[in-house]
Amino acid sequence: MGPTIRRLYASLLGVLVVVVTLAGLLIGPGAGVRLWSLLAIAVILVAVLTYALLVRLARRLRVLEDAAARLASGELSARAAVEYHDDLGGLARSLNEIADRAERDRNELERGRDESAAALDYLPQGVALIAPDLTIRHANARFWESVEVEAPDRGAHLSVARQPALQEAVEDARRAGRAVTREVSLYLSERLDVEATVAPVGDGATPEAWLLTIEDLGPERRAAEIRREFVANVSHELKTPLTSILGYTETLLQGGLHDEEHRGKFVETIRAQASRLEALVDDLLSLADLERPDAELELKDWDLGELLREMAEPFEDLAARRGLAFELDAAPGTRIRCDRKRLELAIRNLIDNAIKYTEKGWVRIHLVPGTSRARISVADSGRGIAPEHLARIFERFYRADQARSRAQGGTGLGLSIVKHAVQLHGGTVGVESEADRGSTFWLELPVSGPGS
Amino acid sequence: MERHFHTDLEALRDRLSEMAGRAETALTKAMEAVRTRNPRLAEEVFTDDPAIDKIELEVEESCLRFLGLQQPVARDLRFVVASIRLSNDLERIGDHAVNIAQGAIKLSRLPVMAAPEDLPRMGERTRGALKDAVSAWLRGDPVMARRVCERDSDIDADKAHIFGALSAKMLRDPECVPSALELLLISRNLERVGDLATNIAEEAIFVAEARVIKHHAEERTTEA
Repeated sequence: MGPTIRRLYASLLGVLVVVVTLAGLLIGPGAGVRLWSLLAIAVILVAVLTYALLVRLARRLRVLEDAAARLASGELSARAAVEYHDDLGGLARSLNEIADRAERDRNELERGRDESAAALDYLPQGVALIAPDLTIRHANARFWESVEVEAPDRGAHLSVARQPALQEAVEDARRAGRAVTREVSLYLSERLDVEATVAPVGDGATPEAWLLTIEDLGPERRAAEIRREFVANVSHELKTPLTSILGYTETLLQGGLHDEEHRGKFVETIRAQASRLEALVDDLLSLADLERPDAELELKDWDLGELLREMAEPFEDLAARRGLAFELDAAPGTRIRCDRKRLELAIRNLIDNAIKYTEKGWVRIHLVPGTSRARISVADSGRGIAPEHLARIFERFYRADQARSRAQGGTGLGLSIVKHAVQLHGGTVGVESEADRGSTFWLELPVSGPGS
Repeated sequence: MERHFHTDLEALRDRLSEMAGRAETALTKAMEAVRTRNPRLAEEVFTDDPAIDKIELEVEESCLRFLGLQQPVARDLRFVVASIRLSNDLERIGDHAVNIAQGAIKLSRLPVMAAPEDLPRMGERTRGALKDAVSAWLRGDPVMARRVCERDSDIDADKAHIFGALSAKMLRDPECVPSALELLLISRNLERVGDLATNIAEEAIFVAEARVIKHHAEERTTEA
């Protein structure tokens, strides 16, 4: 029973005492014992009944009070029980309605906030909302990844990102009172070139916050770098044989034609350089064809074992002339769907390489059938490839041994062609090599029919 | 009063974290300048250094003011004292970065000589140790700090390897002596940065646990 109800009960008892006293005075001392007894019983009955009623009221009020207190403390799921449809019941219903609405609003707000946070985390840019005192109000996961710092538990000063260049950009924007965009380098485990943009948030004269976005410039830069390198390499590769052809033609024109002893050699060199040019242009065209995003494959069903035999046949002669043992182990029975012309480019390049770069010993071609993928390996007993070159050997114009590659008429594009042709077929390529022990290039292709 | 005091301590922590960011950037820029033979990047390290020195003076001044006016006790006292030491360590790291940048400029004028493979690895290890030591300090994370202390021997081992490789190179080919000497000095500077990172980690343990682990190598591993 609360103090209010206690006071109410005390007042009621007081009123009762006054009423009894007044009644006593009115009745007078002459009344009989019966009347006094009746009065006493009535008084006690009223006192007890009121007490019981008030205790009940107090209990119902306490239920309301508890619910209100829980709601006030933020527990929006709290509700008051509605027992009767009287005025207290109405009060409880109103309280519950308020709670319903507050809970609904809060859930909506939370969902909105979670959705924004999730959307922010999906952005490829790092984004941070920064208060004017440089406290980070919110930052997405990408932002913390970019600066390689663990996200702090609560709002922290921008200096926790430990990137002075970013802090300076925000400070400059704040000083100037307008958006700032600049390229900065973040020095982390690797140098990261980013474009940092700091934009004011809010429409008042003094911004409520600043939005910092950082975008990795790396991918674009790297793509431009690759293009530049490719053009430079192509020009260089084309220029070398052309220079040589022009030089010898010039010599022939300036009297060399009459030099019976040497002119044959000159013309032979010109022919050799011209065929090198042709090979290079052919490889460039093949590569361009394989790299086309809309390249259409002429897919047909073939027996991989038979295909390999046909492709390898012309090389037996070449290997024999170089004194190499040439072994082919390819049983028929593995069905494959492929574009014969393009796959042949890949396999011929691998066999050709193996023979070219092996001075003595053997070249072995082996087909390993499998239920989902078949593996073709081309192994040789050549001088092998140093480990530092292995990772880059499938890149265009990358040569493990410049001088030897040129001497063998290599264009530097062969392995790149292999990789693209195999990838077009949904396959993978790889190489294992040990210096002075030889190399094994392999490719794996998805098969269409049952392997043997 | 009390409340004010703690906001001030937070501000001090923010300044130190900014200073640490500058020192880390200086070190990484300097090593990148060595790797890419880029004197312009090395010069950026020189121009960035005064900002580090300036924060050191500011931090020292505010720490002295705290000590004089607020007379902090227990953890707060340790934090203020350790702040002074951290700012000194970071300023020294900035100076080592400047030394490395000077080396980078000299190297860029000398004929190309392949640096020993351990040097970039040592640079990365040192950078990692510094970053983790500072994070442990700022966050008050003694576990992370202990790990930094344990890693210092790796950096020292890297330096020993580099010394060996470079000495052998100089004996074989006297022409590369000037470049090799610069690389030696760079590795020496990195080693000092590694030592300072260990100092910072030890300070982090001092702030968090009121325990001094300096010069007691055995406690680093036995008391976890």
